[in-house]
Amino acid sequence: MRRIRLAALILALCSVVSAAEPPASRRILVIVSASRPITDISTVDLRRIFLAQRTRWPDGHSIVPVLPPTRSPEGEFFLRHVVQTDEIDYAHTWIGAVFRGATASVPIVAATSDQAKRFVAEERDAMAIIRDTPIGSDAIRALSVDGKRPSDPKYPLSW
Amino acid sequence: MRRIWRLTLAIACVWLSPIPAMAADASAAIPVPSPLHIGGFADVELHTSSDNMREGLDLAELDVYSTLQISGSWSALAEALAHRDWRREEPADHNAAEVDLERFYAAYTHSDAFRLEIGQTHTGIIRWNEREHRSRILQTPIDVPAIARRPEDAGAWPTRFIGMWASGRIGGPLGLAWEGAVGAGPGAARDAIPILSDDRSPAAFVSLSASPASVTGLEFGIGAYGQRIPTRPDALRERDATLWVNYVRNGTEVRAEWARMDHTLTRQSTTYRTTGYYVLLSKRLSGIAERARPYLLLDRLSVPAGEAYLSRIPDENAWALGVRYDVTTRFSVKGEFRSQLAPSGDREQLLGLQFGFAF
Repeated sequence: MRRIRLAALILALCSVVSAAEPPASRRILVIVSASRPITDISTVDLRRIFLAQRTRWPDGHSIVPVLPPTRSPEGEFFLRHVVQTDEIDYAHTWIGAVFRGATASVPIVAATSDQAKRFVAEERDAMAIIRDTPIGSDAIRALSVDGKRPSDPKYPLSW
Repeated sequence: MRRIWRLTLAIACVWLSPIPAMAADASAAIPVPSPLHIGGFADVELHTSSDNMREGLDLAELDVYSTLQISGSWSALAEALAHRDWRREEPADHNAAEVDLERFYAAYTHSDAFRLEIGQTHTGIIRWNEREHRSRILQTPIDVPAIARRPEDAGAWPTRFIGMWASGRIGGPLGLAWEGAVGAGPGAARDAIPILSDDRSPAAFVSLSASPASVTGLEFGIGAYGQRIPTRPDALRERDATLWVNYVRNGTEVRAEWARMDHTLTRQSTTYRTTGYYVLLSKRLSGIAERARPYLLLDRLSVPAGEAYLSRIPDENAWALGVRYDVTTRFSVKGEFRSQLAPSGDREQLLGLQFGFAF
């Protein structure tokens, strides 16, 4: 009887643990269409792309940047540590870029990683910053950054 | 005056309403950006001066622009500016406003390394204008530095240009970028660009800049501009040079630019040299004060005596201390104390308040 109670207790504990939210992600991913011949990007180029200083893919198509909400943990990390700016200055940078004619529109904001992934799967010119979640599609690819895969302990887009 | 107050109040109500910046709807599909974009900027200023004749409320600028993405490579831009500058207006011009076509061009973008604009553009010789154009909300202080003023606002440098303007970013570890242009600059009348008459002024511009990857946020560059101005009885040869450096990173902003303009009377070989510079320092505060950005601006301009082409351009020797507060990403309030040379040549102190909008 004791063994049965112990087994039930362990099972109950296991079910509680499995039902709990996974620990918050401390990584962000850079995803692009799998049809793009690119596997790695530098943090310098990421900053240039998300400051409208680099706006084109090598084939001449416009890069369509996609961001998480700037007040999400992923958005805040990306702005503070990669782009190295704040929300207001970032918005002004892009208003200015459109005003100068350097780009056609401001970055797209995706409310969720799934939304961003769906968009990148359909839009070959998109580049999205998302929370670290399983890619789950052959149509998109997560890039390594500065030569480090997301699984690498030295992956730069983690905190 | 009441109408201006009502307009200010109406615009402020719209922009003060809680608009979550860069927010998005999780359930909706991401919309593809429209190829047509219409936007603009407006600002309202309240000012008082130690000179009693110069105070009041002004709708200073309304800047409307539109961009159209025609195809993957071709686009077009048009910008018009309704404008009144109370700081430099003559008493006879009081309440006078003007509307100018600022930019109107078609652009072909092959890649980041090559972009060509054809039409009326900004010359690019003053970096401040190339970066900010005319939008006050995008610049930190209330006023533009003296070297960046438009010819219509007692500015010395040629800001507009009709012709072909090319630019590109080479990238790499140095982050090199280039710009070059040929066309027509301002003629004998400084605020007009004749292109079909004998008064046209052939002009050329070239610049090179770098933003090294090793120092995030640093950019510096040089520029040169030349034109022949068909003034009478003696034509002028203009040669301009500028040096600039910017450092913008994590809320810190340092901008400095030095400019020199030589006008040489071609028959007499007499040269007049105009010089100017500005230094802007600002820092966005942190924590609960993160929407505030205190700043300091130093502004100098020296025009030589006897320079007939710039006879209506006053010297500038100003400093300004102020705070910019961003209520939202599209509405800012700036308060500033400024000490400057008045049109009379005496020193005057100004208190200014500016409401800037982007829409």
